[in-house]
Amino acid sequence: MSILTTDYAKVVESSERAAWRVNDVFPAGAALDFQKWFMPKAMFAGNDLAFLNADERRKLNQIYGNAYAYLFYFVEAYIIDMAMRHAEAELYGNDDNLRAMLRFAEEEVKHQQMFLRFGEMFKSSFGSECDVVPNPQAVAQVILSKTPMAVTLVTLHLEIITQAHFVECMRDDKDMDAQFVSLFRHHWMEESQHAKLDALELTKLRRDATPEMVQQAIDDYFAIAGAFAGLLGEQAKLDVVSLERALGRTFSTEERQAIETAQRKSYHRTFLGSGVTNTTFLEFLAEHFPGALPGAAQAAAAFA
Amino acid sequence: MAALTAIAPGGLTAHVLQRLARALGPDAGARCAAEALQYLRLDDLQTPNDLLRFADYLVAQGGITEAVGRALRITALLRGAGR
Repeated sequence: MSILTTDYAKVVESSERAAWRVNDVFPAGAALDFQKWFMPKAMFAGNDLAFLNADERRKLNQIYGNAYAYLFYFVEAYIIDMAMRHAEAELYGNDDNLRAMLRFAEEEVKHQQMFLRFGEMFKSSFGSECDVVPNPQAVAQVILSKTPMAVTLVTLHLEIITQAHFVECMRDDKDMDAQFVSLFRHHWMEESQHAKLDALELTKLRRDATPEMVQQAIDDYFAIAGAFAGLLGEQAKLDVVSLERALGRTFSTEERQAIETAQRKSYHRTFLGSGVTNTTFLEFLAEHFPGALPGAAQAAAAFA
Repeated sequence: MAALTAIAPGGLTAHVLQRLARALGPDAGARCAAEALQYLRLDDLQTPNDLLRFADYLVAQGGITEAVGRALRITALLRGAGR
């Protein structure tokens, strides 16, 4: 399987080749074009809201794009902690593994800085405040209280979907803002290495695990996914308020419900559905966590 | 004090011996491992919980030994110790 045809030393080499600086993503004069869409239409259910005109749908799409970037900032809070733990476990061990995990952690901190920079840029030019779910640290704490194998499995899920989103939906979409696409191109360049490291670490942990530990990891993975679904639902509610604020308009109860439903569908499909239907992820599950496949099929139906 | 050769090197024991040898040198590393196993009344480290107890012993020693202990402690926790 392609995600596992590598080792830690190769990941370090690839990481060095792909490395970039935050200033590379935001060169002098970089700006967001609010005449463009931020998220690909294939990932945006709001396009079906007939009571919104084209400009209003684009606004909603931009609110979604801001939250999409923020949610990656949000989850990276726990991923940094996870990568640091895995790095520290390699102290006085294998130097290639240690370098790979340290680079992983450092790159995730850089990604957070990049997403914060994007958030400031968006905030300064969108024209109104957009609300986002608060307190990534508290969510990180909940996630990290689960079994390490489950935490790493969730991370693999997230890093695989970032690749799928960019390659399948963003890379060739000419309707999207170029700065936003650049953000996720840089993100994808490094996340593709991180997914390989997650797979290597998971393989290592899985090798020594008892059947009970594997089942616990599967249960925890779905518990985290369920909690994340709830969080995404909260973000969908916030998006309705942000859209009303941006448009200076109050929607009817039915319209508010329709917007919230469309946004929730977009988030669920984007962050959860696209993971539990991803071929690479399912192949990894089939090989190492086959007991997770029925749950993945159920989640795929729920988050389609 | 048990000699290195007295330690039955299972997977986890071999793992900690490598770490300690790297950090302290082969002789001092083997001595440290033997002392820890003797203190814990173990011949071999067989489970993540064994590794956690071993790591906690090293952490209490301070210095570089403590650093190895901290790394091994996380290894043990990642493998499910304490759950």
